[in-house]
Amino acid sequence: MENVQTIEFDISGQICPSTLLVALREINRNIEGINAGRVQLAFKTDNRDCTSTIPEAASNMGLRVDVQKDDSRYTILVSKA
Amino acid sequence: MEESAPLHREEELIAELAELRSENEALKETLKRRNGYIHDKINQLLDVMGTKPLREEELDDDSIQDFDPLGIIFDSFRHILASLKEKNNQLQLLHDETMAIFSAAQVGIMVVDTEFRILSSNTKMREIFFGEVTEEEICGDHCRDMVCKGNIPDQLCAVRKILAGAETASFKGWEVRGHVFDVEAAPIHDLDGTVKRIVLVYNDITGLKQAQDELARMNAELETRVVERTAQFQEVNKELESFCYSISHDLRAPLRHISGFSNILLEEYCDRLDKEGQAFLRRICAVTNRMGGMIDDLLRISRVARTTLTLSKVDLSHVAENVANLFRDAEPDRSVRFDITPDLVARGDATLLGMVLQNLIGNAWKYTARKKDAAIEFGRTFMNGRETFFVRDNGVGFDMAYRDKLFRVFERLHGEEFEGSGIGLATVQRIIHRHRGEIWAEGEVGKGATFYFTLPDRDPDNKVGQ
Repeated sequence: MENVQTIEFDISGQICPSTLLVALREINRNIEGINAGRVQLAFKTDNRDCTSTIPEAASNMGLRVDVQKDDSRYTILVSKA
Repeated sequence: MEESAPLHREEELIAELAELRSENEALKETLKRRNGYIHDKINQLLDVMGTKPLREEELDDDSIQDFDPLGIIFDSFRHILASLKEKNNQLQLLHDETMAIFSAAQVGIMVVDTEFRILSSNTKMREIFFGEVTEEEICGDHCRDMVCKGNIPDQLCAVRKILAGAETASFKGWEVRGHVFDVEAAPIHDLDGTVKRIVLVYNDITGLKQAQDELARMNAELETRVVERTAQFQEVNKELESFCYSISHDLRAPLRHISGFSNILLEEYCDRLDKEGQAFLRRICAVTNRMGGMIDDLLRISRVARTTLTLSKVDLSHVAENVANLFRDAEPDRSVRFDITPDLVARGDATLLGMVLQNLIGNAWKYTARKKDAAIEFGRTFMNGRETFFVRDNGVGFDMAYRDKLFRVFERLHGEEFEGSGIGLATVQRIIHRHRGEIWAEGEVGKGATFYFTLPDRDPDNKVGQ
């Protein structure tokens, strides 16, 4: 994971469908960097629903998704598969 | 007329306004319907993405334009499609590879469904079982009709075993239609884990089996021949040993005469011979004595081969102490340090094992004769897990290059400076081998020698060769 830039997005307080739409918008914007392995996106959220919607949509795009739980918040990390 | 004209104009404007209002309402209705359609489609797309529909506050036209969910989902779909296309390409490659392996495999491969219907089969499979048919022609037929033809009991049916829940099924030496196969089977599951198909692999080992049978037959034949040849060798060996014994025994009498008369000559007729004659006579006496010793040794080695072993527990340490005392008494002027590990016990023939220690300690005594601080050790060690006894000395040693000669009859590594017939170690080796043990030696010129030997298990039930 050396030389990979992590871009963080705090989407706390947002609920579906805007959480997914925001995540998809940022993935679409950064798709080239992600696919090249230069960039990974970290979405911080307190909405449990999007821990399944975002990973499923990102996986369908052929990306790798890791979900980490920290207390009541989640970090959804989207990177190159 | 002047008053009615403006009135008429006003009425016209009112009518036109009413018409415009009506058109405006119709347009608003149309726009609302179209926006509703767009909202519905956006919500349907969101549903496809697995998330919730837009909320009321997200439904107004400005919000939709600002947030642009349609644009986001459109772009996402583009990326999903690109990813799917890539995956499809990879799957196609994988499929092509699998099909190439399937076609080229030199084992029969067949896929059946849970109703025993053949779904696909490779060339080798058709060659083995189906004859001149295409894959399409055989597709849909039952494997029970086409492969085992009902000759295989259910418990040897790989498909049944998989359907009963086994993760794999493997049958070795599965015989059908005069052929022998190793059969392997594995299930193909659907997403919920239900078995949908079964892959079967048939490896025709008929040739291998025949070769193995032939090899087993040849091995048995070879074994018989080895036994016969060994018996022949043993018979010849026995004859040779008898011959050696007879010759040695028969030589003793004339030799005794030569020795006896030589001694009489030396004692009673010595003054009638000149000095040279006397010297010749003394040499005759010396060599006849030496020859007598050699014949005794030969008779001893013959006896070792002919004697029946009488097995018992033998206190080797005690035997070694007795042998050491024997040598000390014979040459009390020599100073030799003996280091004998106590309580070393082995199972064997007491008389023969006594000869072993007498020879080995005797050799050590002999080859340390010129050593000031001579030392002889008898002890035990464990080599490769085996109990191994040893006799070690710090005498003249020997060159390891000649170690193979050590145990040969009449072979000697040292010259006349050390007495010996070259039979002692050959006798020791024969005794150890008769106990089914092993003997070997290590040494270095000027630094001493160590003779190691093993003896069979001490378990009284473990019979030693007679």
